[in-house]
Amino acid sequence: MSLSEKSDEEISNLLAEYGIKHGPIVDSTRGLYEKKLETAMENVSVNASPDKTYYREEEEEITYITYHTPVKHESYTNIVKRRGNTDPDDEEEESYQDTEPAIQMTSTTANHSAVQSRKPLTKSGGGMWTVIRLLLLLAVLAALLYYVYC
Amino acid sequence: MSTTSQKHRDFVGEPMGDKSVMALSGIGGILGKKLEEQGFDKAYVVLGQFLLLKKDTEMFTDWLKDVSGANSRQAGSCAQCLKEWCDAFL
Repeated sequence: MSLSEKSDEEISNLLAEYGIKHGPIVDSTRGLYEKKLETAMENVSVNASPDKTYYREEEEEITYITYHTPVKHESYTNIVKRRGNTDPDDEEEESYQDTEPAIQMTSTTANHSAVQSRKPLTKSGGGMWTVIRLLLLLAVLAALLYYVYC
Repeated sequence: MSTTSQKHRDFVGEPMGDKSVMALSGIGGILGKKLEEQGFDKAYVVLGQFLLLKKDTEMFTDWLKDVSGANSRQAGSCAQCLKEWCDAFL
């Protein structure tokens, strides 16, 4: 695309496109208008480059809300809220029965690629929770024994 | 009006007739010669260019700087001179 190869009419149209007020395109004015168009085209391409092409899907806000736990079998509802563009699910609810200590977790906002996907435990259980459960059982047993032998 | 030069006042005060291009304000010997080489040997030819550019002083300034190598001050002075002449006589 060379400006000098375009017809006078095309130059005129281009000038109008860029909002450049102009007179007739004749021999003595053509060179000037071509230069104006070149400058205008460069300016347009410079301004158009910083397009907002970054995605917003990276922003995720994960809030964990847990659980007040009486020690004996109660069901906890763990609400995980995850907001993100990639994830259509808004809420996940999981309830599981377990004797577990009250653990308070704060909400974490993960920006960009650092997605903290700490999923709550499913019924299959994680290693840590079984250990805690065992400890609690041991504690209960120890208390019972204490009462028995005192 | 006090900021305009005598040359400016001389040009704007009367119809330009057949005046040389060097009668224009801002156009001295060197610039005048360059314009003559391009075919703009009379003031009215430069006027013609000014009119072709729809009496847009900015466009005319750009053109004049391009064609003759005038600086901003010289080109601006010439444009203003022609504009005022047009206002008075055109």
